[in-house]
Amino acid sequence: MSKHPSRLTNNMLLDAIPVANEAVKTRQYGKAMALVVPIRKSAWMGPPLSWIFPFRDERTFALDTVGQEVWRACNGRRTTEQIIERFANKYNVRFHDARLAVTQFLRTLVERNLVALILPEADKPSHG
Amino acid sequence: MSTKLTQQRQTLQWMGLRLLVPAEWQIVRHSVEIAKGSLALVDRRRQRLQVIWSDWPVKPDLKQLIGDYRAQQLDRDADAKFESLALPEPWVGVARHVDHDEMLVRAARFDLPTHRLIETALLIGREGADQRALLTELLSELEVVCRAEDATQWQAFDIHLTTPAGFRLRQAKVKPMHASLRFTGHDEAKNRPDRREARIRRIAMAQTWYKGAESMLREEDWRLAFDHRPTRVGQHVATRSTCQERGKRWQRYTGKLRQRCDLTWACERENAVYHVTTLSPRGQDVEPEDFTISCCREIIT
Repeated sequence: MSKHPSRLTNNMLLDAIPVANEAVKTRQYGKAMALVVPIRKSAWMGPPLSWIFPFRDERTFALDTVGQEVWRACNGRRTTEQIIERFANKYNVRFHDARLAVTQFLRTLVERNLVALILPEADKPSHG
Repeated sequence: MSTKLTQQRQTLQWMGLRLLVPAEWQIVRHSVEIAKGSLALVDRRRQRLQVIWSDWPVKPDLKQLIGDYRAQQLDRDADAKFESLALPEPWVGVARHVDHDEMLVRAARFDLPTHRLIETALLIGREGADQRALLTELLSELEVVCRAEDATQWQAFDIHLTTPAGFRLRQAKVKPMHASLRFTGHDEAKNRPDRREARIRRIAMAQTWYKGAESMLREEDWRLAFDHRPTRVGQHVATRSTCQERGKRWQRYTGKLRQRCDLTWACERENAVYHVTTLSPRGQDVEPEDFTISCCREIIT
């Protein structure tokens, strides 16, 4: 899994399988959806400091309808390429345009730890 | 290699060139320069084709040109392997082996009527009859229609457009799902751009954002006082909006401001919004209807 999507090449990203973080909960507000992520609190964030500063327990990210679709498609079975293909077919846009939109969104989700990318063995970047 | 001959093809027309390429290939880099420019196309994974055009006053020696390219490549990499290919007339070229199963075909041809040199760099598989057939098809279908400055047919970024004579492409802004082509009129006698202007936009995913032409134009510039009228273009409901362009007060008093006319419609089948804007000075009327746009396989303006 990678937490650094910027290090991935485009081809690696296409082959990767996005998996939603299991700790993330979803809340529906009408048509809008919010992703709720629990925040791991450090020891210093507990009492007595928390009596004065009420630290948040969770962080929320709002998704529009298009974002929701991509989020739902990150089910751990589809590759990014397949998600892009579905997106392109649904909205009648070119693959290249859909790729830019979907990968940019996925990069944001990965950076916020909402999604992890599983790379196929052959695509894993070598270290050292 | 994913490209097979069974794949669908798309026609592209740009700066007086016509290409027939696999439908999946898309333009990622383009130039609007008349004298020298290029067009680069990618498939899902990498760049597949680059077409370079340049004006030459006299016919260059194509064999010498390709020979120079080969020598240059050998200078960089002494182990480079080349292959001679039988290319369709009048193309001259050579293939350089890249990776383990691919080759980069560098080919050139000169179009005498327009004095344009066309060069291509095409990445194809080394094995397979389908790859050779693709190469032959691409090169034989690459056609020089006219000089770049005389081009009136445009087919790129899902915009299929015919401009009236005397307009030249000045700018092409392409963002994901949003393509905008800006043309200006050209005064042939003075050989300089005149004040006529047109912009053709295609914005995709209309269902997710389009709430009508009025709100779209208001968001673009709320200070413009448009007069909106419903109309139809082909089978689509459209809005024709007119106003005077914004400018300095002295321009308004001296009649220098141009008349702006916008024609906007949403094509449900393509899930896209088309927006044609024309700006015309007094006495040189240009209407959006002068630009023929083909949308959902129907010519509608």
